[in-house]
Amino acid sequence: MSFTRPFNPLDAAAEIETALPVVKHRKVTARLWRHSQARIGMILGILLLCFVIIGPIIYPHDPAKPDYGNKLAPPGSQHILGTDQSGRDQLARLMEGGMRSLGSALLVLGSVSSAGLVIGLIAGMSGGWFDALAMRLVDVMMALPGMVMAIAVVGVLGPGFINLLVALVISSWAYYARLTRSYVLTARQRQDVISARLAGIGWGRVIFTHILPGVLTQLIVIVTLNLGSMIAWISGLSFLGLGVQPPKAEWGAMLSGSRFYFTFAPWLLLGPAILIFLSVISANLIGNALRDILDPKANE
Amino acid sequence: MKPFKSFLILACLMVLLAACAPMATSETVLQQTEEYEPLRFVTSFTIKSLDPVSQGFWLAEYGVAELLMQYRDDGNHYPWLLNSIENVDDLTWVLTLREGLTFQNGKPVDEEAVLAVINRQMELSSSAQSSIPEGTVFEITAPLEITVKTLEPYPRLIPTLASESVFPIYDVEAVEAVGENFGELAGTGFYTGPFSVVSLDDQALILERNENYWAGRPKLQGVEVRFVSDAQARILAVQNGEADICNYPPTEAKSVVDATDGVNFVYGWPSSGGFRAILNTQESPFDDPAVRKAFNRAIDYAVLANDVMDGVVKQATGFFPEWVPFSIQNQVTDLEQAKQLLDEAGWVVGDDGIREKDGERLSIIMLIYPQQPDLVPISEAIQAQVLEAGIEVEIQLVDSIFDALTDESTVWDVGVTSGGSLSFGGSPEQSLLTYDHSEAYRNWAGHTNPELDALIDELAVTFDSEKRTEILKEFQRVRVEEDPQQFFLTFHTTRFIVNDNYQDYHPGMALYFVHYLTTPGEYETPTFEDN
Amino acid sequence: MNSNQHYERVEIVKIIFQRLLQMFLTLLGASLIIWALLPLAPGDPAMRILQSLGVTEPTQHEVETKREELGLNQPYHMQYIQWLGRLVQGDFSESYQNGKPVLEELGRRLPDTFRLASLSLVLTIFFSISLALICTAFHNQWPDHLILFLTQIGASTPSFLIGVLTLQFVVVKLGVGKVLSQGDVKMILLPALCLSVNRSSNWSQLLRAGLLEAVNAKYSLVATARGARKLRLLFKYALPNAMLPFLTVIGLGIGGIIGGSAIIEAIFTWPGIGSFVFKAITARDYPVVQGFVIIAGASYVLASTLVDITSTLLDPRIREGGQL
Repeated sequence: MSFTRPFNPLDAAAEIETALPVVKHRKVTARLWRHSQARIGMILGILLLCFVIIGPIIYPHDPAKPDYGNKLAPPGSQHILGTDQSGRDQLARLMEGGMRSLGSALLVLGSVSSAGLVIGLIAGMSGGWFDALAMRLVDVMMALPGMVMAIAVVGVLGPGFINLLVALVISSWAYYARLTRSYVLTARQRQDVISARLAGIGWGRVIFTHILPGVLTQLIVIVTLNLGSMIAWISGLSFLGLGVQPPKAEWGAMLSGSRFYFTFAPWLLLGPAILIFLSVISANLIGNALRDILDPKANE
Repeated sequence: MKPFKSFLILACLMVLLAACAPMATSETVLQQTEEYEPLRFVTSFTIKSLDPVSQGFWLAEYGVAELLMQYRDDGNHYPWLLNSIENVDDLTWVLTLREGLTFQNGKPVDEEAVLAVINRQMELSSSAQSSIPEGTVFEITAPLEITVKTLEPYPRLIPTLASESVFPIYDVEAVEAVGENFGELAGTGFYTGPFSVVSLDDQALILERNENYWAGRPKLQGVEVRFVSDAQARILAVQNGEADICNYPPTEAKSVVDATDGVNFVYGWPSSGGFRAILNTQESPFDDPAVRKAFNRAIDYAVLANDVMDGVVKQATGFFPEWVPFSIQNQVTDLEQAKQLLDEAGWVVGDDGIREKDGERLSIIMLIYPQQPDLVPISEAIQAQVLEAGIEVEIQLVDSIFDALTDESTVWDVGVTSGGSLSFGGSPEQSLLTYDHSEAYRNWAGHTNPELDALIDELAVTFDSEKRTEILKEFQRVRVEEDPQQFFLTFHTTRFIVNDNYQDYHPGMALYFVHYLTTPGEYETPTFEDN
Repeated sequence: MNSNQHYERVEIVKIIFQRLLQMFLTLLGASLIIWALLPLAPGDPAMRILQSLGVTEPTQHEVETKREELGLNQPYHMQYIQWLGRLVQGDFSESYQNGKPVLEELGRRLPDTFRLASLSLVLTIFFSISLALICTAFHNQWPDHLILFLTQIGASTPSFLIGVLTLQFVVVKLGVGKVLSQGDVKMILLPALCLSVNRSSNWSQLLRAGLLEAVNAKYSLVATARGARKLRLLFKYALPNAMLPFLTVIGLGIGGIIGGSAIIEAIFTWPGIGSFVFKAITARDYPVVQGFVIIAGASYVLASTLVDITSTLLDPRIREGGQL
């Protein structure tokens, strides 16, 4: 039932339904592009990525260089989006901050899915005590709201960007491990896998040719579904000062630091706010469309 | 179908109305003749309890607690709850209390009450224990008279009595009656100041006028101190008319505040604190006094204070702030001299502009910490300035500067801390003994300089003010000109963001934020000379 | 028939028992993880506790005595059992910041969080049901499209963004409400609304899907064939059927009350448990963080178990004696 599907980025109740249908990824990409909402999301996403990756190459200002004689300059020809309270170029900082906000969201999801993949694969293949132990741990982790677990880890390690990322990885690997394991368990019963084994092909090769591709596709789908909430989490916790420490740029931290300047320099607040919103909505549009496409009921 | 639609539209309208319903409008401060609305502070530090031992100093700042002596803007000390303090001989002091003093609850403040505070503080307060030398005896020798006898000459007694955390005068009986439940002290009037505590919780300290204040009837009806750790929210609160005065505003807010109507950036009296740079002399390159001097001369202190910090902090012209009577202005910027010193010491400029000596780059690690956000622009500016002399600076942000400097494993060359060259009570030797003496517990670099030690030791037992000035001047000469192992980058100011009612706000020394004469137009710290 | 009913009851009791056992094991596992995190926190706990009690430079002897008292010199499994024992007795250790018992410190802030979060939950339920009903009634017409568009935006705007923009535009610009709400009940509506935007958007989308499914289900078609009006159909058949899974969502929402409102509390200076915990993190006050995690985690696990049991009892397949 689609009711337990989560969406709320910062909602403690977030949980994803466990059973996903098997994905045929080539078809999915094409159908995503035909899906109008997904298309908007994808175009937005590509634009944002260009902004943070190509932007710093073609835009000449140094995001870290303060210019104390030119604080809070309004948008103009020299500084396209003006300067912040230390005279740093706002556009350059938005690009650098975006690299940190978006890059770290992808990094966390990448680490989480790799960790989940490795643990789930070993658990599914080996069975026995490791499987039992890992899955009990997964049960416990999944029973706790992710936000609460993240707070526990940041609370122990202390505020800091790396600590925040570690906390997010620790608090969200479990679902990926369970998904991988259940996929592996089903795959082991599959006709093609059994035939390959009977033909004398070693497990190592079978895993690479028959199991891994399917698992990866599934993980990519889940990563897409979680991307929006991850961006919101990272910028939200940085907003509270638990992530990036000054003077480094990050959208959530920039937003937090510019609140007072709003009446005087609204562009400082609106820039990161709009970019955070666009990133989350881009990821969510793609994620939603993916869910629509993969939902067997919708395909009937 | 139709009625259903209209029902839905009605429901939508109701939702919208509910969402838009007016909530409450912000209050405005009303002024009447000699009757002033409570003054509303919004500050970053939470006052944790009404325990006078650990939290009493906050109440001194907000006009609740009072001290025996007062340290004032002119750099001198005056009697406050005392009538007089007399130095009978090098080891004996006679303290005489004002006549007719009462606590807010009406009980008399006599010699017994004050001695009870002194005894209780000596038993429980670590600040009192560390400020009063061992073997000191306090005893009642006449009505309203307490005699103090020390084993060694102790000229620091006067600044100690003016220190907000040593002997705030409170009603010991009332405090002991509540045991550990300090919350029950609210409403008992256990201090002597112009305002008494109505309530204290996590959100706010609420004070009301003490109608029986000994120096006169306080003009404000009361004081509210709200605790909001988020600086942005504090400033917004003043802008939105929810508070009159925001304490501890970030310096970077100044330019915006100056350009915004209804809020003003104002200064109190100069602070005795500053950003102190401590050089690690146990490691190369600062084991060489020439490199220490070169680093000290290569920094442009005027630029740090006036350009980088917009004049929100004061230029460090010497080891003590300029307003201190015995200060000399001998800290100079001289890039050429810095280069020359390094040349003479054998540091040669390399290909990339950084000096080298025997294959070692002149590269130093500077530790700063996030609790002081101003250190970010200051350290970045220093980085650019000393680069001109061929010194490379790597800035590292550490969670806790004290932990980092105490930890043996930390690699550092410069540590920056926030601390004064004068104690809160106005004593120079207190801080010299804490930071600069070889045996000082905050001498993290383990630096020894026998010449400075001798001067500090002599100062600690010298009463004569001319002689003291002489010693202090010699100390400053050696410290800044010969061995700048510790020096100041900038001196702090006491800053506030205030609304238009309080745009002339200008509180006096040692953070006395409010007193009995405070009104929107009146801010000078009273002298109590007429009382 | 009788034996069938009896069999059913035994089955239900068994399920409930299993769920409770599972909950117990989960809580035990969670407590183990939370406990195991402690050694990662910097500093010696004995030292930090002594300092919080005002002993600035404790002697070696004092530290040793405190370590003994806290059981830090014992083998790890004994430390865990003792720690758990203290936890069960309500001893959550003391805050590093002021030496007060953690449970008392958290408990003091719970009512404010509860007020804010429950008002927001009520608003959320109200908004989601009304929006979903409008969408279903006007399926594929402009109100449906408009609401879908708005909820898409609402769901993609993180709550801290909503909070900050509300504070700037509504409080500072329009002068409605206060920057420092500080637990003032009159000021509760704005933070509660900000808190509900995100969830209302998600929940109304979920409920809309459920309602549409129910409207198109066979029993609805039968009812329509019998001549039931659309409004009646919506309220009498579709809503009750769609509500059952929706109750699960609400139940989990209740479980997430402690911890869900943290960011909004911080923005509106609402003195709840969430803003308190963020301050504790900055102050490296791990006992408080730990206490929060235990309470928030346990209440969530408890709520999800209750939701599970309730939906088992309410499930028509069980009520009607079907196979589970």
